Amino acid sequence: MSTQLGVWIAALCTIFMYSYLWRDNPLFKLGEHVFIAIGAAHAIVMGYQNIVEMAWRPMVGGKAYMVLPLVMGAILYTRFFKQVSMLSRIPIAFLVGLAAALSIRGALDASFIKQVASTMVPIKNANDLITMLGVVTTISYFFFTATARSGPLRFSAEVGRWVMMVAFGAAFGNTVMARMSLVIGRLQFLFGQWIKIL
Amino acid sequence: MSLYAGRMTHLLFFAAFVLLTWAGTRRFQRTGNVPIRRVTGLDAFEEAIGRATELGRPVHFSLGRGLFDAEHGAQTFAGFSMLKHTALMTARYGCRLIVTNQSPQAHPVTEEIVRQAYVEAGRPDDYVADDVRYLSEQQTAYVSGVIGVMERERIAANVMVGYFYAESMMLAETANKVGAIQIAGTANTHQIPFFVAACDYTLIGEEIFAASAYLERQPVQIGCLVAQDYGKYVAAGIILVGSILATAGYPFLSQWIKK
Amino acid sequence: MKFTGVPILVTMVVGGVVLLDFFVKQSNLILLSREFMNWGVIISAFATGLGAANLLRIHAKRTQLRRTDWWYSGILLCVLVGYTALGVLKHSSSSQYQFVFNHMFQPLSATVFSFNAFFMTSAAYRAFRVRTVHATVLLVSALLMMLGRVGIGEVLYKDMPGIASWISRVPTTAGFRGITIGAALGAIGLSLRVLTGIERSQFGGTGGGGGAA
Repeated sequence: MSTQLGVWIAALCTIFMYSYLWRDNPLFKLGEHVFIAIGAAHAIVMGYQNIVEMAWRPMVGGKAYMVLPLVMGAILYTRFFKQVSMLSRIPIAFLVGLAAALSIRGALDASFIKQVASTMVPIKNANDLITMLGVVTTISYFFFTATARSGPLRFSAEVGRWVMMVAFGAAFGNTVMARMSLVIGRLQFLFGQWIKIL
Repeated sequence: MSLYAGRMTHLLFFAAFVLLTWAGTRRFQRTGNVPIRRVTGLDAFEEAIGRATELGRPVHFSLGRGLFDAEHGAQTFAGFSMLKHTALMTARYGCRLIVTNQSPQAHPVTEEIVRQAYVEAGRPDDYVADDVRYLSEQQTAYVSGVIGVMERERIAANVMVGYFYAESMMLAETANKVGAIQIAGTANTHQIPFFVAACDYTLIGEEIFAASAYLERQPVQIGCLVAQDYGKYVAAGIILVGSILATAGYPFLSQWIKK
Repeated sequence: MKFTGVPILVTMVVGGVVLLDFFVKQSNLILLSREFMNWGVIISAFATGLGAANLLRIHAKRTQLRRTDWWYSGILLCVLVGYTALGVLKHSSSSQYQFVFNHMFQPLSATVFSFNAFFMTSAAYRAFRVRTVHATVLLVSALLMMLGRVGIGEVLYKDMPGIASWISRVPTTAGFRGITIGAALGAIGLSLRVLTGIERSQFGGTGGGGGAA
């Protein structure tokens, strides 16, 4: 067996969490609460370091305008004071505007134009044809206005649904195989590094 | 000031989308009727929340990652719309709603949405601040926290709409274990299969974005839905025609789209 | 409490600048857009404190009122305060901080992540019992994929890896690409409504604007 404190702690943490597979129990509850606490603390520490490095240091170094994001960040906390709580919507609105614009950019470029362009290729064999028709029929599944869901489009949408089911099955099968390695990794740690019988 | 190289098509398409949304909105305002197909996953809310109310057990809601960035932002907004709908229903039915958050940015927004929904439903006193909970920004820590909530609060319905990574399967299976009816939706193609396999109702891809239009049927939302459908006609049409032309040795359409 | 005018204006201005920067090449616009993105990271960093405040409030109340399992909440509070203090006072690169991270956080995380393998098996088992045509298609595809990825698949049928590879390359690409294109349109529509202040769920309101005739 290992004599290192770190390995023992890691092994106990692993066992505490795996105990949930039996059922919800005090060991899992302990592991869960400690895990949430460490996760939250780590996020605060990272957030604090980001604020210091990205805003505070540049501000004291001469970039006076960096006071603006600092003030906006601080305004988030006005939500704890009833009289001025509505001000906290301003930094939220900033993040929302940023996210909406970035989403449009990403959706337009990577998810729409580039995907359409990659499908528009010369058809050299059956696979190219199936891919092209598969994309078109899957798109047709997502028509929402009812007039677009009649006649040939109805048939196309049904084919699209089948294509999606094949794709979902393939992704499922692929991931099952990949996830098995995670369990093997934990077992290797327990029996290799901790108990040392491997 | 000039246009970035390779962005002409993007701009044209975006401008067309805005125009079509406007036209679709006008059409709806004029006629008052644009028929929309059924989306089973959205119709199922009544069943899920009704069941939870009958059993006297809570409904759980998750936005998944809930981040505000290029990849996740729109899905987080879709989650907000669904949370608003869920909170309005639970407030009206007098059913308890527990919201768990992974994103500290989305957390204050979810608090606001739920509180406002209870006010709108005429039951502001039923809003319980402690039931909108931030758990952890760390994916697996969040999962362990949600497992705890699902197990100990014995949830009867689980609604998950937004951007999900590997937490999708773990949350869906735990909810299943405690006997909750589940409605889940995401546009992350790699996680949809797990929702399809593990949940009772699944919202696939674009369906999560269409949800607010489907449920609220406000003019601009319907206008957007019409524009989205035209966008799909255009995409499918360009793919078909472009591929045929490229096969025949005229690849100008496939070259034009990259401009 | 309605206060939506200023936030919507902020959303429009910030979003408008970042969106315009995607299409138009202009030096000031590039600078402003990049600055806004940096500010987004800083504001998000502040938000982590809001999350922690929620945890502190809920668990402090539980501990104070001695509710069921209150002592787990007490432990959570101690670890949260202690580990935060360690990170802030001694930095996240300190050996003490790293010890906790490597020997507690990492194994806890890896173990929970590995739950996926167990959950996937149980989900697959349940899905197998669903007898609809679509579920059957999904499962056959999943089975072929799994068999194609392990040695026994090739023993059963020599072309099994080839079949798995074909499913992965052709119908899976087609299906996912179709979903992505549809979802892109939905994302553009919803983001546009948010950007123009029509969709207001994020401020507790509804969306739509205008009324039907």
